[in-house]
Amino acid sequence: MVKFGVEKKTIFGRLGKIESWGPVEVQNSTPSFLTYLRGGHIPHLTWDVAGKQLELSQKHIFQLTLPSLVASAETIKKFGKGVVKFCAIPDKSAVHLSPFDPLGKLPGGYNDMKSIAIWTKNGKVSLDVAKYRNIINSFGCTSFESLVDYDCPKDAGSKRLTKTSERTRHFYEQLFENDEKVEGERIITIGGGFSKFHREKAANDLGGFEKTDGFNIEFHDFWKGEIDVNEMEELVKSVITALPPAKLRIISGPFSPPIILSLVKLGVDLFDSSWPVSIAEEGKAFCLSDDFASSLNCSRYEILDFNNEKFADDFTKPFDNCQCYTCRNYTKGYLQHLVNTHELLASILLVIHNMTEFDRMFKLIRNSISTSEDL
Amino acid sequence: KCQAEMRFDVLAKAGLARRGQLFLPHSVVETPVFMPVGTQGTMKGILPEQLIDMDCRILLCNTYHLGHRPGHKKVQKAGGLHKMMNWPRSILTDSGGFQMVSLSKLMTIDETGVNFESPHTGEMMELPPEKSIEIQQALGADIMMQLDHVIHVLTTGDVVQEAMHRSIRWLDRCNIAHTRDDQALFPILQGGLNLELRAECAAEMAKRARVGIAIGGLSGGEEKSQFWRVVAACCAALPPHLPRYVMGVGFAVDLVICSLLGADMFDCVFPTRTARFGTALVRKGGQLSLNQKRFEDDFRPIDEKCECDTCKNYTRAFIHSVINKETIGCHLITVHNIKHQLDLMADVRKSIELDQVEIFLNNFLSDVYGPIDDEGSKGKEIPQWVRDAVNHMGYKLSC
Ligand SMILES: [Zn+2]
Ligand SMILES: [Zn+2]
Repeated sequence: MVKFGVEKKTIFGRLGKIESWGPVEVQNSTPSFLTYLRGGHIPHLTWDVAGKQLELSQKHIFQLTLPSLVASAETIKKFGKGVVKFCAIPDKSAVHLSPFDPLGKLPGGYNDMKSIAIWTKNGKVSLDVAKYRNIINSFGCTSFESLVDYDCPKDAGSKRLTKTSERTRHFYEQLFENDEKVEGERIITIGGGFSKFHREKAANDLGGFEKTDGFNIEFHDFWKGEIDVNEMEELVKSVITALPPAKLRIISGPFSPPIILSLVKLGVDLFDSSWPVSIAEEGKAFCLSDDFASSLNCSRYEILDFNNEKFADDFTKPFDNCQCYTCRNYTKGYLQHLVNTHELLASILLVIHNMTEFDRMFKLIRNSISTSEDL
Repeated sequence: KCQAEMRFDVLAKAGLARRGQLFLPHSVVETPVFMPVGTQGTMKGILPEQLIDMDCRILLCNTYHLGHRPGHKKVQKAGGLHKMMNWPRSILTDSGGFQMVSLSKLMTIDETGVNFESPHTGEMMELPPEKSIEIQQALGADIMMQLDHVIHVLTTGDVVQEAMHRSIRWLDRCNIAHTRDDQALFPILQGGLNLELRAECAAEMAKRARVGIAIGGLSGGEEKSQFWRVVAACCAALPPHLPRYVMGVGFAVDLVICSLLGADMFDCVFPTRTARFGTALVRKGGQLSLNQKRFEDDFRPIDEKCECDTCKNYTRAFIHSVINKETIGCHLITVHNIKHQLDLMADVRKSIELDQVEIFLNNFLSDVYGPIDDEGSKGKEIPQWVRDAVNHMGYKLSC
């Protein structure tokens, strides 16, 4: 099981503790994040580099995203020692399998009664329950998410919404039918698109299932483009009020600091680190304002865009107060040079800094919650 | 360390080969040595700490590229190349001339220097020897290279001799322009494939060399039979106290033969460049193209005898699965390829130290050219030029 307990509830959000993730002891405080993996790695970092140069404040709980590995599913099965060993992920890590890649694409119109579509660099892969169960068992992750029919566009009528929620429920039941062996802790995914009614209904329908310690609120419609925060908040509220309050709530996606802060406020416990990776891949580094999370509306942060030539002549530390490997050893001017010449080292150094700062952000958030009054 | 303290000690000799130590301001380099190339002031996707873990002591950066981006003045402002790229050990920079000749469409050479059209801005630029030294002094590498008059290796006639003499005159100009005491300046031997010119050039340049010397103008498409003879002739003509750097050599067989002929330093982009195309270097048979379908379910490491981080932790199948999709695919092969080259040179050094060159040579050649049982490959013939060079050195091959 995922051993999780809520320790405190405030207007800032709630503080919790994950004691263990399946058999792996973690002792992580929440709000926090799952470490985003692609190809079984923190993007651009070999495990050697991640282990030696990336220092975070809590143990990793990895989010193993499936699209980059699904083409190797047969190979991993033949390999026979699980995905952790196949990808050289550090031994005895908590690894959570997600069918989606928050930085990948997920166009609508490709799901059907039996399967959902996920997208790899080589195109579409249809994932039905039997195939997914096979992957879950041969990968041997600590936990996995149940399948969801994520295809509920804004203009979906109630008939369509009902159909998608039926499919999601069906995918879930089918996964375990006939007492099939399914290895790992289960996290139930709640869909429902833009409909508060169907979000709430899904939460009510699936929230009652036993044998789960956490819920993943599917929100890919908010991964890209301008986000209507109010709309998102309303939807999250409708789900969260219907979920059993003691259980873990996860939202995956490349969300910027202010959005994460507002979701924390609503009671979300876990996010993922796709956002710091995505801006690193654009040649950017971020830094939180000094007063970040000191009050409910302090969510400012600064972005340095190393594509900008103004840094070419600036050989000062990227961020004065950051102690990460990148800030300790390199300068803005050098990062600008690396981005400018499209050198692979640029993404490596920026991922290390951005992940460190992202980690610090959650520390600040937890501090603010712990010093706020209980609700 | 100042010039006077830079020195080359020969620790052991076996036949023509030497096992030495080159003392440079930022590290002691064990020779014979292979220097990986970090063109733009970074080793493609590898952290300096990873190179140190592999015990890499010296790398090469390209003056032409750094002079253009970020520009030598900026590197100087950053505190020099070592500081800018967080590399505490030794660096060698080339003169920039070779790249100008190979990357520029319009290029002329006269007594003043190299004139070339910048492929970036299109304007005509001048690179006299003094300018090359000025740029290299701003970069601050442990070893600088003189600007030489590069001609194509297959050029014949008077031009070869003229270019050689001009290179000697330019060496004198470089020496005058060279003012920093904590950098060594290597001359570059020219003379094409003409062994007499090479000997003449060696005699003149050796007089002017203080720390070490390079053998230039090779690896440009000449016959291997000519290549090794020029290397052998240059090594024979040079005094023993100077380490001999054969430029642009990076294939395993070339490294081994040149080392055994008495050369001490090498560089090549090949191991890192080929990694980016998914090719891993291996003891048996030379190389593997990991993007081939046959590696899809191959759960062996790239090279069973290799102890690099990649081979200790990853299978060919995994690397195959991420090649061209994730940058780590390239990083993992690059780590292996560099370690592979460094290990090869460590084996060469050991064989010289133990005076077991012949045994080493036989094992090495049977790995590269012999049959590979588990792949059903029958192996290849050892090339004639290798046999000739081995004969010249007085070793016997058992295959
Ligand atoms: Zn930092
Ligand atoms: Zn290796």
